[in-house]
Amino acid sequence: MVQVIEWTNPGEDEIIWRYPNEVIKWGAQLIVHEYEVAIFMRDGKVYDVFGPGRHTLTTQNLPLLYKLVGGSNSPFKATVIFVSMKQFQGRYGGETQTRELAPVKYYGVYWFKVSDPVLFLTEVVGGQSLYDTQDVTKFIRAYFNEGMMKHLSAYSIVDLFQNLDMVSTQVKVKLMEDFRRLGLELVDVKIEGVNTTDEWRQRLFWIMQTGNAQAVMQMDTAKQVAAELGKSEGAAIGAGMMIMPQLLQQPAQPAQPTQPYAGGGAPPAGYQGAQPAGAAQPNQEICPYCGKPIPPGARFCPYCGHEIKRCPNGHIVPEGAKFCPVCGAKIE
Amino acid sequence: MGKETKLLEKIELIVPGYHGYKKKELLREDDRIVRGKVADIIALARKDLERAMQRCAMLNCAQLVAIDTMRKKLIALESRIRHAEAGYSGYFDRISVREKEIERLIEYDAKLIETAQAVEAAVKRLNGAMADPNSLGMAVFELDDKVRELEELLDGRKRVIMGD
Ligand SMILES: [Zn+2]
Ligand SMILES: [Zn+2]
Repeated sequence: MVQVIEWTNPGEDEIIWRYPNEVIKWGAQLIVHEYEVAIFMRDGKVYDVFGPGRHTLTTQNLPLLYKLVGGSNSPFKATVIFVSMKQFQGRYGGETQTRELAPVKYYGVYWFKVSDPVLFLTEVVGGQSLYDTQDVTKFIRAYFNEGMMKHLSAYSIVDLFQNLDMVSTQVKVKLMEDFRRLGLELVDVKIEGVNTTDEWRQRLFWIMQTGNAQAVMQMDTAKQVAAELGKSEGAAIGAGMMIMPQLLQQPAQPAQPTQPYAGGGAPPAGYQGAQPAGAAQPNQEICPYCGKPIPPGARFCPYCGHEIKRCPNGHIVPEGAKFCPVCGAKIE
Repeated sequence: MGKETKLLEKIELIVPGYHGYKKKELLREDDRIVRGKVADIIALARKDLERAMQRCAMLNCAQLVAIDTMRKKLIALESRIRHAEAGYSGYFDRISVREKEIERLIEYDAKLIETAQAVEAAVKRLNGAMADPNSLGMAVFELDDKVRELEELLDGRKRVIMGD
Protein backbone atom coordinates (compact mmCIF):
# COMPACT_ATOMS: atom_id res chain seq x y z
CA MET A 1 0.00 0.00 0.00
CA VAL A 2 1.25 3.42 -0.88
CA GLN A 3 1.90 5.72 2.02
CA VAL A 4 -0.05 8.99 1.69
CA ILE A 5 1.17 12.00 3.57
CA GLU A 6 -1.54 14.62 3.63
CA TRP A 7 -2.92 17.21 6.04
CA THR A 8 -6.58 16.37 5.91
CA ASN A 9 -9.13 18.95 7.03
CA PRO A 10 -6.94 21.46 8.78
CA GLY A 11 -8.94 23.56 11.26
CA GLU A 12 -9.45 27.29 10.90
CA ASP A 13 -6.76 28.15 13.42
CA GLU A 14 -4.26 25.41 12.64
CA ILE A 15 -0.84 26.82 11.79
CA ILE A 16 1.15 23.62 11.74
CA TRP A 17 0.50 19.92 11.70
CA ARG A 18 2.91 17.09 12.23
CA TYR A 19 2.41 13.92 10.24
CA PRO A 20 2.13 11.34 13.01
CA ASN A 21 4.26 8.67 11.38
CA GLU A 22 7.98 9.39 11.43
CA VAL A 23 8.90 6.46 9.24
CA ILE A 24 8.72 7.46 5.59
CA LYS A 25 8.91 5.14 2.64
CA TRP A 26 10.35 6.05 -0.72
CA GLY A 27 7.59 6.33 -3.25
CA ALA A 28 5.17 7.76 -0.67
CA GLN A 29 2.61 10.24 -1.99
CA LEU A 30 2.90 13.70 -0.50
CA ILE A 31 -0.12 15.92 -1.05
CA VAL A 32 0.36 19.60 -0.33
CA HIS A 33 -2.74 21.77 -0.68
CA GLU A 34 -2.93 25.40 -1.76
CA TYR A 35 -1.74 27.73 1.05
CA GLU A 36 0.42 24.95 2.51
CA VAL A 37 4.04 24.00 2.63
CA ALA A 38 5.39 20.61 3.71
CA ILE A 39 8.79 20.48 5.32
CA PHE A 40 10.95 17.51 6.19
CA MET A 41 12.80 17.89 9.46
CA ARG A 42 15.13 15.73 11.44
CA ASP A 43 16.50 16.49 14.89
CA GLY A 44 15.02 19.99 14.78
CA LYS A 45 16.76 20.80 11.49
CA VAL A 46 15.03 21.62 8.24
CA TYR A 47 15.88 19.50 5.19
CA ASP A 48 13.63 19.42 2.16
CA VAL A 49 10.70 21.70 1.38
CA PHE A 50 7.61 21.13 -0.83
CA GLY A 51 5.08 23.60 -2.13
CA PRO A 52 1.52 22.89 -3.25
CA GLY A 53 1.03 19.86 -5.47
CA ARG A 54 1.08 16.08 -5.47
CA HIS A 55 4.59 14.74 -5.06
CA THR A 56 5.96 11.23 -5.18
CA LEU A 57 8.86 11.08 -2.76
CA THR A 58 11.98 10.02 -4.58
CA THR A 59 15.67 10.28 -3.95
CA GLN A 60 15.65 13.15 -6.42
CA ASN A 61 13.18 15.42 -4.72
CA LEU A 62 14.49 14.66 -1.23
CA PRO A 63 18.17 15.22 -1.98
CA LEU A 64 19.21 16.51 1.43
CA LEU A 65 17.49 13.76 3.37
CA TYR A 66 18.67 11.13 0.91
CA LYS A 67 22.21 12.23 1.55
CA LEU A 68 21.62 12.15 5.28
CA VAL A 69 20.14 8.66 5.33
CA GLY A 70 23.12 7.31 3.51
CA GLY A 71 21.69 6.50 0.12
CA SER A 72 19.81 3.35 1.02
CA ASN A 73 16.34 2.68 -0.34
CA SER A 74 14.87 1.39 2.87
CA PRO A 75 12.39 3.54 4.83
CA PHE A 76 13.92 6.46 6.65
CA LYS A 77 13.06 8.59 9.65
CA ALA A 78 11.89 12.16 9.26
CA THR A 79 9.35 14.50 10.77
CA VAL A 80 7.01 15.96 8.18
CA ILE A 81 5.55 19.30 9.24
CA PHE A 82 2.84 21.03 7.28
CA VAL A 83 2.72 24.79 7.62
CA SER A 84 -0.32 26.85 6.74
CA MET A 85 0.40 30.02 4.78
CA LYS A 86 -3.01 31.48 5.57
CA GLN A 87 -3.57 34.57 7.66
CA PHE A 88 -4.33 34.14 11.34
CA GLN A 89 -5.82 36.36 13.96
CA GLY A 90 -4.66 36.56 17.52
CA ARG A 91 -5.87 38.50 20.52
CA TYR A 92 -3.54 40.09 22.99
CA GLY A 93 -3.71 41.98 26.20
CA GLY A 94 -1.33 42.98 28.90
CA GLU A 95 0.04 45.55 31.24
CA THR A 96 3.05 47.76 31.04
CA GLN A 97 4.28 51.13 32.22
CA THR A 98 4.64 54.30 30.22
CA ARG A 99 7.76 56.42 30.12
CA GLU A 100 6.65 58.22 33.27
CA LEU A 101 5.89 54.85 34.87
CA ALA A 102 2.14 55.21 34.65
CA PRO A 103 0.59 51.75 34.68
CA VAL A 104 -1.35 50.98 31.50
CA LYS A 105 -3.45 48.07 30.41
CA TYR A 106 -4.03 47.40 26.75
CA TYR A 107 -5.73 44.87 24.55
CA GLY A 108 -6.51 44.29 20.91
CA VAL A 109 -6.14 42.08 17.87
CA TYR A 110 -3.29 41.22 15.54
CA TRP A 111 -3.13 39.43 12.23
CA PHE A 112 -0.16 37.48 11.00
CA LYS A 113 0.93 34.81 8.60
CA VAL A 114 3.94 32.71 7.91
CA SER A 115 6.11 34.40 5.31
CA ASP A 116 9.25 32.28 5.48
CA PRO A 117 8.26 28.73 6.45
CA VAL A 118 11.84 27.51 6.73
CA LEU A 119 12.88 30.32 9.05
CA PHE A 120 9.65 29.85 10.99
CA LEU A 121 10.29 26.14 11.47
CA THR A 122 13.91 26.73 12.39
CA GLU A 123 13.17 29.50 14.87
CA VAL A 124 9.87 28.48 16.37
CA VAL A 125 9.02 24.87 15.74
CA GLY A 126 12.46 23.27 15.78
CA GLY A 127 14.11 25.92 17.89
CA GLN A 128 11.53 25.76 20.67
CA SER A 129 10.47 22.16 20.09
CA LEU A 130 6.85 23.18 19.62
CA TYR A 131 5.21 20.65 17.38
CA ASP A 132 1.56 21.49 17.64
CA THR A 133 -0.55 24.51 16.82
CA GLN A 134 -1.56 25.24 20.39
CA ASP A 135 2.01 25.54 21.61
CA VAL A 136 3.03 27.56 18.58
CA THR A 137 0.10 29.96 18.97
CA LYS A 138 0.89 30.40 22.64
CA PHE A 139 4.51 31.13 21.84
CA ILE A 140 3.61 33.70 19.20
CA ARG A 141 1.16 35.45 21.48
CA ALA A 142 3.71 35.65 24.28
CA TYR A 143 6.30 36.94 21.83
CA PHE A 144 3.90 39.56 20.56
CA ASN A 145 2.95 40.65 24.06
CA GLU A 146 6.52 40.94 25.17
CA GLY A 147 7.28 43.17 22.20
CA MET A 148 4.14 45.24 22.72
CA MET A 149 5.03 45.78 26.35
CA LYS A 150 8.56 46.80 25.54
CA HIS A 151 7.68 49.16 22.70
CA LEU A 152 4.70 50.80 24.43
CA SER A 153 6.80 51.59 27.46
CA ALA A 154 8.84 54.02 25.38
CA TYR A 155 5.84 56.37 25.05
CA SER A 156 4.30 58.88 27.41
CA ILE A 157 0.81 58.44 28.74
CA VAL A 158 -0.38 61.51 26.84
CA ASP A 159 0.85 60.00 23.56
CA LEU A 160 -0.94 56.78 24.35
CA PHE A 161 -4.26 58.42 25.04
CA GLN A 162 -4.10 61.31 22.61
CA ASN A 163 -2.07 60.06 19.64
CA LEU A 164 -2.97 56.42 19.75
CA ASP A 165 -3.15 56.06 15.96
CA MET A 166 0.40 57.23 15.54
CA VAL A 167 1.70 55.30 18.52
CA SER A 168 0.08 52.07 17.45
CA THR A 169 1.42 52.41 13.91
CA GLN A 170 4.91 53.11 15.19
CA VAL A 171 4.72 50.17 17.56
CA LYS A 172 3.42 48.03 14.72
CA VAL A 173 6.45 48.85 12.58
CA LYS A 174 8.71 47.70 15.38
CA LEU A 175 6.69 44.55 15.97
CA MET A 176 6.78 43.81 12.24
CA GLU A 177 10.55 43.69 12.47
CA ASP A 178 10.39 41.45 15.53
CA PHE A 179 8.04 39.08 13.71
CA ARG A 180 10.20 38.99 10.61
CA ARG A 181 12.91 37.43 12.73
CA LEU A 182 10.64 34.45 13.26
CA GLY A 183 9.74 34.08 9.58
CA LEU A 184 6.35 35.62 10.28
CA GLU A 185 4.67 38.58 8.71
CA LEU A 186 2.69 40.79 11.03
CA VAL A 187 -0.08 41.94 8.73
CA ASP A 188 -1.79 44.31 11.10
CA VAL A 189 -2.23 45.28 14.72
CA LYS A 190 -5.18 47.00 16.26
CA ILE A 191 -5.17 48.45 19.74
CA GLU A 192 -8.77 48.28 20.88
CA GLY A 193 -8.32 49.75 24.30
CA VAL A 194 -5.89 51.35 26.67
CA ASN A 195 -6.58 52.11 30.26
CA THR A 196 -4.84 53.30 33.36
CA THR A 197 -5.61 53.81 37.04
CA ASP A 198 -8.06 56.41 38.36
CA GLU A 199 -5.25 58.53 39.65
CA TRP A 200 -3.46 58.55 36.31
CA ARG A 201 -6.65 59.19 34.43
CA GLN A 202 -7.18 62.31 36.53
CA ARG A 203 -3.64 63.44 35.91
CA LEU A 204 -4.06 62.71 32.24
CA PHE A 205 -7.26 64.75 32.14
CA TRP A 206 -5.45 67.80 33.41
CA ILE A 207 -2.32 67.25 31.42
CA MET A 208 -4.42 67.15 28.27
CA GLN A 209 -6.62 70.01 29.38
CA THR A 210 -3.80 72.34 30.27
CA GLY A 211 -1.04 71.06 28.08
CA ASN A 212 1.22 71.43 31.08
CA ALA A 213 2.38 67.96 31.92
CA GLN A 214 5.16 69.15 34.14
CA ALA A 215 2.96 71.15 36.49
CA VAL A 216 0.43 68.37 36.75
CA MET A 217 3.10 65.79 37.36
CA GLN A 218 4.46 67.86 40.22
CA MET A 219 1.23 67.42 42.10
CA ASP A 220 1.23 64.00 43.62
CA THR A 221 -2.47 63.62 43.91
CA ALA A 222 -5.56 65.62 43.26
CA LYS A 223 -5.91 65.94 47.00
CA GLN A 224 -2.61 67.71 47.21
CA VAL A 225 -3.83 70.25 44.70
CA ALA A 226 -6.82 70.96 46.86
CA ALA A 227 -4.60 71.32 49.89
CA GLU A 228 -2.27 73.72 48.12
CA LEU A 229 -5.17 75.90 47.27
CA GLY A 230 -5.96 76.23 50.93
CA LYS A 231 -8.99 74.09 50.86
CA SER A 232 -9.73 71.73 53.64
CA GLU A 233 -9.30 68.02 53.15
CA GLY A 234 -13.02 67.83 52.77
CA ALA A 235 -12.97 70.21 49.85
CA ALA A 236 -12.66 67.43 47.67
CA ILE A 237 -10.93 66.19 44.66
CA GLY A 238 -13.50 67.64 42.31
CA ALA A 239 -13.04 71.19 43.47
CA GLY A 240 -9.30 70.96 43.36
CA MET A 241 -9.39 69.47 39.94
CA MET A 242 -11.60 72.21 38.63
CA ILE A 243 -9.37 74.98 39.84
CA MET A 244 -6.27 73.59 38.31
CA PRO A 245 -6.76 74.68 34.73
CA GLN A 246 -6.96 78.31 35.66
CA LEU A 247 -4.04 77.89 37.94
CA LEU A 248 -1.96 76.34 35.23
CA GLN A 249 -3.11 78.46 32.35
CA GLN A 250 -2.52 81.79 33.96
CA PRO A 251 1.00 82.40 32.73
CA ALA A 252 0.14 81.25 29.26
CA GLN A 253 -2.98 83.33 28.87
CA PRO A 254 -2.48 86.66 30.60
CA ALA A 255 -5.10 88.35 28.44
CA GLN A 256 -7.85 86.26 29.89
CA PRO A 257 -9.18 87.86 33.06
CA THR A 258 -8.81 85.57 35.97
CA GLN A 259 -11.99 83.63 36.15
CA PRO A 260 -13.54 83.56 39.52
CA TYR A 261 -14.01 79.99 40.37
CA ALA A 262 -17.62 80.23 39.45
CA GLY A 263 -18.79 80.10 43.01
CA GLY A 264 -19.11 76.41 43.47
CA GLY A 265 -20.67 73.97 41.14
CA ALA A 266 -20.00 70.33 40.93
CA PRO A 267 -17.12 68.66 39.22
CA PRO A 268 -17.86 66.98 35.94
CA ALA A 269 -19.61 63.69 36.04
CA GLY A 270 -17.26 61.04 37.22
CA TYR A 271 -15.78 63.21 39.90
CA GLN A 272 -19.10 63.37 41.59
CA GLY A 273 -17.81 61.69 44.68
CA ALA A 274 -17.31 64.97 46.49
CA GLN A 275 -18.72 68.45 46.52
CA PRO A 276 -17.00 71.67 47.42
CA ALA A 277 -18.40 73.44 50.44
CA GLY A 278 -21.49 75.41 49.56
CA ALA A 279 -21.81 73.79 46.20
CA ALA A 280 -24.74 74.29 43.91
CA GLN A 281 -27.12 71.52 42.97
CA PRO A 282 -25.44 68.16 43.26
CA ASN A 283 -25.74 67.19 39.61
CA GLN A 284 -24.39 70.39 38.15
CA GLU A 285 -21.36 70.32 35.87
CA ILE A 286 -18.71 72.88 35.20
CA CYS A 287 -17.37 74.07 31.88
CA PRO A 288 -13.73 73.03 31.71
CA TYR A 289 -12.98 76.02 29.47
CA CYS A 290 -14.45 78.93 31.46
CA GLY A 291 -15.23 77.33 34.80
CA LYS A 292 -18.88 78.34 34.88
CA PRO A 293 -21.64 75.93 35.86
CA ILE A 294 -23.40 74.41 32.88
CA PRO A 295 -26.61 72.41 32.67
CA PRO A 296 -26.04 68.69 33.16
CA GLY A 297 -25.32 66.91 29.91
CA ALA A 298 -24.87 70.17 27.97
CA ARG A 299 -23.25 69.80 24.56
CA PHE A 300 -21.84 73.30 24.66
CA CYS A 301 -21.19 75.91 27.29
CA PRO A 302 -23.85 78.67 27.38
CA TYR A 303 -21.27 81.12 28.79
CA CYS A 304 -18.24 80.71 26.57
CA GLY A 305 -19.87 78.80 23.74
CA HIS A 306 -17.21 76.12 23.77
CA GLU A 307 -18.28 72.71 22.60
CA ILE A 308 -18.29 70.21 25.45
CA LYS A 309 -17.01 66.84 24.28
CA ARG A 310 -18.37 63.80 26.05
CA CYS A 311 -17.63 60.12 26.20
CA PRO A 312 -20.45 57.61 25.51
CA ASN A 313 -21.06 57.52 29.25
CA GLY A 314 -21.54 61.27 29.40
CA HIS A 315 -18.27 62.27 31.03
CA ILE A 316 -16.70 65.52 29.93
CA VAL A 317 -13.53 64.74 28.02
CA PRO A 318 -10.65 66.94 26.87
CA GLU A 319 -10.30 67.94 23.26
CA GLY A 320 -8.46 65.40 21.14
CA ALA A 321 -8.82 62.60 23.66
CA LYS A 322 -9.19 59.12 22.17
CA PHE A 323 -10.36 57.62 25.43
CA CYS A 324 -12.38 59.00 28.30
CA PRO A 325 -9.98 59.81 31.11
CA VAL A 326 -12.74 59.09 33.61
CA CYS A 327 -14.09 55.71 32.54
CA GLY A 328 -11.74 54.68 29.72
CA ALA A 329 -14.51 54.50 27.11
CA LYS A 330 -13.46 54.97 23.51
CA ILE A 331 -14.37 58.31 21.96
CA GLU A 332 -15.56 58.95 18.40
CA MET B 1 1.40 41.47 -37.03
CA GLY B 2 0.53 44.68 -35.30
CA LYS B 3 -0.05 45.92 -31.81
CA GLU B 4 -0.80 42.50 -30.27
CA THR B 5 2.41 40.91 -31.44
CA LYS B 6 4.39 43.75 -29.96
CA LEU B 7 2.48 43.55 -26.67
CA LEU B 8 2.91 39.80 -26.64
CA GLU B 9 6.64 40.10 -27.06
CA LYS B 10 6.76 42.69 -24.32
CA ILE B 11 4.87 40.46 -21.90
CA GLU B 12 6.87 37.37 -22.82
CA LEU B 13 10.00 39.22 -21.90
CA ILE B 14 8.73 39.90 -18.39
CA VAL B 15 6.67 36.73 -17.91
CA PRO B 16 8.54 33.70 -19.20
CA GLY B 17 6.24 30.90 -20.30
CA TYR B 18 3.40 33.21 -21.31
CA HIS B 19 1.67 32.02 -24.48
CA GLY B 20 -0.77 34.86 -25.01
CA TYR B 21 -3.76 32.48 -24.76
CA LYS B 22 -2.77 30.77 -27.99
CA LYS B 23 -3.64 27.27 -26.82
CA LYS B 24 -7.01 26.57 -25.30
CA GLU B 25 -5.59 24.05 -22.82
CA LEU B 26 -3.09 26.62 -21.62
CA LEU B 27 -5.50 29.51 -21.11
CA ARG B 28 -5.63 29.01 -17.38
CA GLU B 29 -1.89 28.61 -17.18
CA ASP B 30 -1.34 31.91 -19.03
CA ASP B 31 -3.78 33.62 -16.70
CA ARG B 32 -2.07 32.13 -13.66
CA ILE B 33 1.48 33.08 -14.57
CA VAL B 34 0.54 36.63 -15.51
CA ARG B 35 -1.24 37.08 -12.20
CA GLY B 36 1.69 35.49 -10.40
CA LYS B 37 4.09 37.94 -11.96
CA VAL B 38 1.93 40.96 -11.18
CA ALA B 39 1.45 39.74 -7.59
CA ASP B 40 5.23 39.34 -7.25
CA ILE B 41 5.78 42.91 -8.36
CA ILE B 42 3.21 44.13 -5.83
CA ALA B 43 4.83 42.01 -3.10
CA LEU B 44 8.18 43.66 -3.82
CA ALA B 45 6.57 47.08 -3.75
CA ARG B 46 4.97 46.25 -0.42
CA LYS B 47 8.30 45.18 1.08
CA ASP B 48 9.84 48.39 -0.15
CA LEU B 49 6.97 50.33 1.41
CA GLU B 50 7.62 48.58 4.71
CA ARG B 51 11.17 49.85 4.59
CA ALA B 52 9.71 53.31 4.07
CA MET B 53 7.55 52.78 7.15
CA GLN B 54 10.56 51.88 9.23
CA ARG B 55 12.36 55.02 8.19
CA CYS B 56 9.22 57.08 8.66
CA ALA B 57 8.79 55.70 12.18
CA MET B 58 12.41 56.49 12.96
CA LEU B 59 12.07 60.04 11.65
CA ASN B 60 8.74 60.44 13.40
CA CYS B 61 7.22 61.59 10.13
CA ALA B 62 3.56 62.53 10.01
CA GLN B 63 2.68 60.29 7.05
CA LEU B 64 3.18 57.03 8.92
CA VAL B 65 -0.49 56.18 9.27
CA ALA B 66 -1.14 57.07 5.61
CA ILE B 67 1.77 54.90 4.47
CA ASP B 68 0.46 52.09 6.62
CA THR B 69 -2.94 52.42 4.95
CA MET B 70 -1.22 52.06 1.58
CA ARG B 71 0.60 48.99 2.85
CA LYS B 72 -2.71 47.39 3.80
CA LYS B 73 -4.05 48.18 0.33
CA LEU B 74 -1.05 46.50 -1.27
CA ILE B 75 -1.46 43.41 0.90
CA ALA B 76 -5.12 43.12 -0.09
CA LEU B 77 -4.26 43.74 -3.72
CA GLU B 78 -1.54 41.11 -3.81
CA SER B 79 -3.79 38.50 -2.31
CA ARG B 80 -6.63 39.43 -4.66
CA ILE B 81 -4.37 39.08 -7.69
CA ARG B 82 -2.64 35.91 -6.58
CA HIS B 83 -5.45 33.88 -5.07
CA ALA B 84 -8.98 35.15 -5.03
CA GLU B 85 -9.19 35.74 -8.77
CA ALA B 86 -8.21 32.14 -9.39
CA GLY B 87 -11.86 31.45 -8.72
CA TYR B 88 -12.82 32.61 -12.18
CA SER B 89 -10.23 30.53 -13.97
CA GLY B 90 -12.92 27.87 -14.32
CA TYR B 91 -14.61 30.22 -16.74
CA PHE B 92 -11.88 29.55 -19.24
CA ASP B 93 -13.48 26.19 -19.83
CA ARG B 94 -16.82 27.67 -20.69
CA ILE B 95 -16.12 30.80 -22.62
CA SER B 96 -15.54 30.56 -26.28
CA VAL B 97 -12.39 32.53 -26.52
CA ARG B 98 -12.54 34.53 -29.69
CA GLU B 99 -9.75 36.45 -31.32
CA LYS B 100 -11.21 39.69 -30.09
CA GLU B 101 -11.39 38.57 -26.48
CA ILE B 102 -7.84 37.32 -26.60
CA GLU B 103 -6.67 40.64 -27.99
CA ARG B 104 -8.37 42.48 -25.16
CA LEU B 105 -6.98 40.06 -22.59
CA ILE B 106 -3.45 40.59 -23.86
CA GLU B 107 -3.97 44.32 -23.72
CA TYR B 108 -5.17 44.04 -20.13
CA ASP B 109 -2.23 41.84 -19.20
CA ALA B 110 0.26 44.32 -20.62
CA LYS B 111 -1.50 47.20 -18.84
CA LEU B 112 -1.60 45.20 -15.62
CA ILE B 113 2.14 44.61 -15.66
CA GLU B 114 2.83 48.19 -16.59
CA THR B 115 0.65 49.56 -13.80
CA ALA B 116 2.12 47.16 -11.23
CA GLN B 117 5.53 48.48 -12.23
CA ALA B 118 4.20 52.01 -11.86
CA VAL B 119 3.09 51.12 -8.32
CA GLU B 120 6.57 49.84 -7.63
CA ALA B 121 8.09 53.04 -9.01
CA ALA B 122 5.73 55.17 -6.93
CA VAL B 123 6.89 53.34 -3.80
CA LYS B 124 10.50 54.03 -4.78
CA ARG B 125 9.73 57.72 -5.13
CA LEU B 126 7.98 57.66 -1.77
CA ASN B 127 11.08 56.15 -0.22
CA GLY B 128 13.16 58.93 -1.74
CA ALA B 129 10.81 61.66 -0.53
CA MET B 130 11.09 60.73 3.14
CA ALA B 131 12.99 63.85 4.15
CA ASP B 132 10.49 66.35 2.75
CA PRO B 133 6.97 66.25 4.22
CA ASN B 134 5.38 67.94 1.20
CA SER B 135 6.77 65.70 -1.47
CA LEU B 136 6.17 62.72 0.80
CA GLY B 137 2.51 63.63 0.99
CA MET B 138 2.38 63.92 -2.79
CA ALA B 139 4.14 60.58 -3.15
CA VAL B 140 1.48 58.92 -0.98
CA PHE B 141 -1.25 60.40 -3.17
CA GLU B 142 0.50 59.27 -6.31
CA LEU B 143 0.84 55.75 -4.98
CA ASP B 144 -2.82 55.73 -4.08
CA ASP B 145 -3.71 56.78 -7.64
CA LYS B 146 -1.67 53.95 -9.12
CA VAL B 147 -3.21 51.44 -6.76
CA ARG B 148 -6.70 52.54 -7.76
CA GLU B 149 -5.74 52.28 -11.41
CA LEU B 150 -4.59 48.73 -10.86
CA GLU B 151 -7.84 47.86 -9.08
CA GLU B 152 -9.86 49.20 -11.99
CA LEU B 153 -7.78 47.22 -14.45
CA LEU B 154 -8.41 44.06 -12.48
CA ASP B 155 -12.14 44.70 -12.61
CA GLY B 156 -11.98 45.27 -16.35
CA ARG B 157 -9.88 42.21 -16.98
CA LYS B 158 -12.25 40.11 -14.93
CA ARG B 159 -15.16 41.30 -17.05
CA VAL B 160 -13.36 40.15 -20.19
CA ILE B 161 -12.66 36.71 -18.75
CA MET B 162 -16.18 36.31 -17.42
CA GLY B 163 -17.43 37.19 -20.87
CA ASP B 164 -19.57 40.21 -20.03
ZN1 LIG C 1 -17.54 77.79 29.17
ZN1 LIG D 1 -16.40 58.34 30.46
